Amino acid sequence: MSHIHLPDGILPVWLWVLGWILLAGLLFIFRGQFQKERFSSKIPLLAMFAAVMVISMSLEIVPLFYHINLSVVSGIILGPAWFILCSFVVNLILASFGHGGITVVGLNSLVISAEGVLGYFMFKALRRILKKISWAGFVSTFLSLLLSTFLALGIVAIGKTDLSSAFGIGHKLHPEKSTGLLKLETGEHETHKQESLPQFDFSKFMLLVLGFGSVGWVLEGLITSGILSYLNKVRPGILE
Amino acid sequence: MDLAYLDYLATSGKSFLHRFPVGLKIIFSLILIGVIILVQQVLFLIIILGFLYSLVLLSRLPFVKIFLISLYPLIFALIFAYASLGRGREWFFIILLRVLGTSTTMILLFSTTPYPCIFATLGKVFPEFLITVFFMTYRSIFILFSIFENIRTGFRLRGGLQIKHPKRSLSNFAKAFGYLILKGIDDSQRFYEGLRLRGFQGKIEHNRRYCTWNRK
Repeated sequence: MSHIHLPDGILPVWLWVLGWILLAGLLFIFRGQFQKERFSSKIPLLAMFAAVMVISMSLEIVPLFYHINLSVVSGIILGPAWFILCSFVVNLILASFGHGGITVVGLNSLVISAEGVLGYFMFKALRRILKKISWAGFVSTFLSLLLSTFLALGIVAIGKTDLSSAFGIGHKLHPEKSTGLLKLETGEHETHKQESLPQFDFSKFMLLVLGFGSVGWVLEGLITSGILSYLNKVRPGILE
Repeated sequence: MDLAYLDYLATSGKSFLHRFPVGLKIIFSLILIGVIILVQQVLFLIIILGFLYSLVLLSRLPFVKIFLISLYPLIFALIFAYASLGRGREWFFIILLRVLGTSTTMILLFSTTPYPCIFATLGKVFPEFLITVFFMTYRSIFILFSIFENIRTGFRLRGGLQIKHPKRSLSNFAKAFGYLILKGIDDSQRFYEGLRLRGFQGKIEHNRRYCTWNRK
């Protein structure tokens, strides 16, 4: 739930282009590390976690409108740099099947990267404080999902002012100007729409996302803590 | 998750769309998605969907199955569409049709093109390193599926998911996923080492004939 399940053509172009640029920038920063470890065991590890995330994100819990991400587990084991690449791969594969738009892959990758990276640092810190892996796993997962959901909501909130122009409802007010199938809006057209049309109901959207999400965060926190405890018991070195 | 099924359709099909050059198919899909994004009329979106569905039928793909797979993204889009109801019913349908259109386009591409061909074609544009990661991820999904089949039996024997026993159910679920991850890492590592031993240098080679018109 924490990433944006928006279809293509909803967010303004500048926003999703910015998402792609920021993601490319992040990948560029870490390119040295990727090159250095390109033939190491990191690639099969990344591939496996990307596959686990793709599968878990495809198993939706229908009544909750939620799917488990397993991003925090992946972030903890892969580390920040490789997890950013992992989230990009996951989002691109998911988008290729319509799970989130192709254009919002950059933004979605940033949101999920934030989730995994926050989870990684919080888990490292909480592990020392709480001593128990299960508690550290639960709290770090819950908090990182909460924060990343607000990041996703923030992105939608930034984009919501432009949502009306993306929808192009204004043609009803100027039918003579919009006879084509693809309506290319003018500046005058857009201003008119902003003034006279109802806004996207962001509070309703936020309420739904937070309402369904809160149940999901607890569920995912419990599952993540269970997985981390299991991994620590069976193969302790994997969490170091 | 129907990746395995789509992969089967892509490799076993013999229709004109299966034999169509991969690069052109990818470009055509991207153009179609671009049009779906730009279109703001329900009728035109329905026409595009009709065109896509006719391609599904012409490619001799199982229509009902493809349609059901394409419905999956609608579950999440419904929340957004519902929040946009204030703009009128038309926009509710535009949102849903856009999602349906883009997902059908991509499913059509993946069910008519074997994934090594897609990755090999993308390798001409993207860095080889990235293509390797995509290839390994895609392969890992199938490795996980095969492990998952074995885990399912063990999961059920331990009690599976029971509403009456939430704690035990969650514990079973977490252990199953934990085992899946560990087994997956080992198998994926073995697969990668196998590739390296056979001379894999981070570049996916493909048989051009296999991916184009001449494919038999």
